[in-house]
Amino acid sequence: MIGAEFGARLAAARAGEEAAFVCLFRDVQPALLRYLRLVAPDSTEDVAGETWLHVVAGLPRFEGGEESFRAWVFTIARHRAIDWGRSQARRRTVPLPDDPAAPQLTTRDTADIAIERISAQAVMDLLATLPADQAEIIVLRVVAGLANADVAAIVGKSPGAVRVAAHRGLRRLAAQVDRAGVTL
Amino acid sequence: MSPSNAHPDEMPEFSLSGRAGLELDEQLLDAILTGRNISPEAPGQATVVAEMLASLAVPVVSGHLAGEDAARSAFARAVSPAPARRASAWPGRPARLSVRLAAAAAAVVTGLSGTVAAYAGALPGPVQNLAHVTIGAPSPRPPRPGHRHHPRPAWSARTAAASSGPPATASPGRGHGRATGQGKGSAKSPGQAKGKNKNKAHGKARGHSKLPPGQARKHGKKKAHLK
Repeated sequence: MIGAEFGARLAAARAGEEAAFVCLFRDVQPALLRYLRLVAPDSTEDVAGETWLHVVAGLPRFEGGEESFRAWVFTIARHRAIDWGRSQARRRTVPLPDDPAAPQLTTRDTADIAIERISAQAVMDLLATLPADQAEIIVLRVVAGLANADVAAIVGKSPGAVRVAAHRGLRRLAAQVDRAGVTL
Repeated sequence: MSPSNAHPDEMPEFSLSGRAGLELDEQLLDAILTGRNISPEAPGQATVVAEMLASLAVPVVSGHLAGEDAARSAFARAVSPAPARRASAWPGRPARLSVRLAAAAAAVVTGLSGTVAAYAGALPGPVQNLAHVTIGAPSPRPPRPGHRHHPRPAWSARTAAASSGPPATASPGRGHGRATGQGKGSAKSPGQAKGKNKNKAHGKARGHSKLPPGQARKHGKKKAHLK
């Protein structure tokens, strides 16, 4: 997060200063890529590129603080990912939660991943074993750093439903970690 | 299948909270979601999950990020043609633009209808002669012997047609009635209709609004001389 300087950076970017725009970009892009790896695994960078095109186009009209900016960028990213998915006529590759074979497979993968090392990619793989809505909500809350209400607006659910989904996802992750016997 | 190896969704009646180390209350889960420090007495699995998720939220301090070049060039493209592109975003600009477009469209329509009228030979003699010389339109028709006593109404009809847009299709004999009708229906109708009424009353060509009064009078006299 940029913090107190965000307003000045945003104003400079809106005035056409490229360095200020790059600052905004670098602040959001890592989280954006991680989010898109989850929701658009086959076209992460393409969707990210389209997202930034829309951000650039809408920047002169954007008004708000840093949290609003991040929420705006992730909203655009989600819409681009959905459009991309439609255009490609492909479904997400997140495993279905109700598949009875999935828990066993993911438990084994979880153990391998966690024992080997806890890296960002391994965690993303672990998150991808969750139901899609739970994984997306957790990433938006934890990785993008968005508030519950912002996430609710982005995914089109009530704040209460978002909170419940996030808790369920965390409990499921904890159960997988428990089954894998991972400790710190 | 027992609660120990079942997926939580498969045996929901067996709560994980009954197992040691998995009593994850909502406050603890909210702390994990917001990246707050969790209590050391929290279950070990919760600590592991919190650490895992925290590793995702670590910002990239430096280095070139994927997609940065594309984003930079997109930004540069959006910014560089600033005077032309940004100007169009100003409020009020589209209105001025549409006025210009409307004026251009009106000029094109007027020009086209004038040209059509010229090729139809429906313009007044001198104007038709000018069109004949400049754009190769037919030369002015010689006055018909049978209609020599009605030149002015026919001339007025052609003038109105040429100046108000639609091509004149009326024959010299029907010109008078047409001119009145067109004058009422065209965009410039109020002034032209008045002018034509005066023409009828005074027998002069003052109704031709495109011409200055002096020239119009001269024109009318010339026509009268033709009689």
